[in-house]
Amino acid sequence: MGREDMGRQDLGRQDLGTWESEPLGRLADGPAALSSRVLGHLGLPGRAELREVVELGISTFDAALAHDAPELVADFLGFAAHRVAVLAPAPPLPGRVRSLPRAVLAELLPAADLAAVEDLLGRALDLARARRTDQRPVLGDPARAFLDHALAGDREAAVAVVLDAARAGTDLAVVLTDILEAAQQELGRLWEEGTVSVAQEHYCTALTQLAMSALYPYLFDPAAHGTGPRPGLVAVQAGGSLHEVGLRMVADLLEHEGWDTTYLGAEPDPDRIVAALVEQHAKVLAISASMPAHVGAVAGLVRAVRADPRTAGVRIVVGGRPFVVAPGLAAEVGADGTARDAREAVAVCTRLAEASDVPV
Amino acid sequence: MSPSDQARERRLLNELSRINNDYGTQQRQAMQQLARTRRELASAQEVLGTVAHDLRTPLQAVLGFVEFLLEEDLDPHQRDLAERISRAAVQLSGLTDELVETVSATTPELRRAAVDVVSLVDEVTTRHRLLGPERVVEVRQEVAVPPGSRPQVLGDQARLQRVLDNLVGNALKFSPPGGTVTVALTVEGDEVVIAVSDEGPGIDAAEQEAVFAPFHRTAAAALVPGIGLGLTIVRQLVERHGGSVALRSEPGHGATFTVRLPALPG
Repeated sequence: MGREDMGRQDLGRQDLGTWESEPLGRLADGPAALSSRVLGHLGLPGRAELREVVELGISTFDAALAHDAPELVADFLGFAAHRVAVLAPAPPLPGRVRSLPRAVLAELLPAADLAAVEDLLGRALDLARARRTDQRPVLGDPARAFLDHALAGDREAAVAVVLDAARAGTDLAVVLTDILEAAQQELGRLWEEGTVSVAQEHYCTALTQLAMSALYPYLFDPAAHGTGPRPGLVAVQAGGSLHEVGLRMVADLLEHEGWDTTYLGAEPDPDRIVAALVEQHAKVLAISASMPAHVGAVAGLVRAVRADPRTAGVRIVVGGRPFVVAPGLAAEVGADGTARDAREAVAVCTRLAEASDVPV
Repeated sequence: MSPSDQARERRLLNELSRINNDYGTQQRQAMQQLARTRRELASAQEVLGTVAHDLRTPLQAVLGFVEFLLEEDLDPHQRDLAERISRAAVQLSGLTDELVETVSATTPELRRAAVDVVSLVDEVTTRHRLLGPERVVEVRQEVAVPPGSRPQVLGDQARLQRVLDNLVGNALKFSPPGGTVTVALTVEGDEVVIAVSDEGPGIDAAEQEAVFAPFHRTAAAALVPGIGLGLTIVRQLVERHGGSVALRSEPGHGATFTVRLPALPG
């Protein structure tokens, strides 16, 4: 969930575990072992930030192969081209990428698996060429002011921008999306182009979370929406990702719209998620994945919810960058819908709630 | 920065992010729970208000008809029974009134206007002085404001009157025959201060906070009518006016409830 550019900052926050796809699953070594070979073939130095880019590429490729979603790799390639240009003295030539599978995997995989890998990469490169790049978000004055204060380390001034807007009567949905979500999107772009450091990105994201908390007195206003029944939402971040702002924003927007929301954060236990759905009589479960490697966890959670008769009628919406770049993944993981950003998520959740079998 | 330093920095930053996320999740979950509790409370109050309101109509009928009955030529036993019905109905009517007031004290809107506090105190103390025939308790007023000044607060006249009514009514309930209830008005800085004192049994230190809780009844209160909502209403209304209420008391030496409200700049 969240805008298209939210989520890449999870780079370096991933834990490379085991392979998800069948072809790569036949490799004797795990994903981490492959990164040195890839760096070597691309002629890149082994500095930590470049290694993280490569590791993200490997996990993305694995997920794309598992779900037949070359869009994920195409999206990664667009990002990697920017990022490597910032980090490496001499970026690799495009031909080196196309020849990667053969150079790195030929001795390790059967011919059919190698062909599957090359086919996916070929389709991803074709898509990447067709992709529009350099989409700059349009920032309004308050979003720009919030981000400028945040980047300058002025916590009070940044939060004041948001609170002043709320006190002036600006609709909370506007404050959340046009200021905080827009600023977060721009932050991701600045990080990607190397203008802000990882530490600055973490700090500014934490400030966005702080500003969202500062809005709680407006958001959880007991006088709003009366005491009648409210549709229930449970929101969870899949795969233990640290990038939670987008999902929290969706939950906050729905609370503002009169829903009864339960935000679980990065809750890894499907049993607890099912229990929360039952306890809250939730009509909708919102699951967010910030990285392709988490799509498998989303699919697992959807299966667990569908398998339990108590929650089989709950509608499921998925979001996050992998679903934005490859919307077809939503149906593949068994979800009922997906959304590109927080506002669209509200519309989709509202539509799904109306179709839900769970009584309010 | 060496690669290992970079890796260590990333690990630390990630750990910080995780802690921050966990904190944010817990904070939001606490807010969710608080919002649900408030909604449940509001919903319960709606039901309570409706029930209390619906009880009033048949009660008024009981009160009216028993009054007619008492005017009839009844034998002593019949009269005794009718008087018992009348007393019980009066008590029940008081309780439903208190319930309705509790609910209305928490309804959203206050009709704010400039309220003359000297007049407010005068009106309430005069009324209680006239209404207390069965027990001889003096209701005294001490107004100490600068000469010629008329301190005002921005508030809901009817609700502020309810605050003083509850405090003075409470003080009267607990006053011994021959005792004095004092309502003192002063201005301290930018606050209007109204203190209501009685010479009753006082309240034990351990119970002084609890008296503001809904339905709390002290041991002494068991002997007087009421359901333990009067002081709850006082605190809710005063706080909704941006003020505070405090209790000072020693067992055996009466009690003083002090209300502080922001004064309108004069």
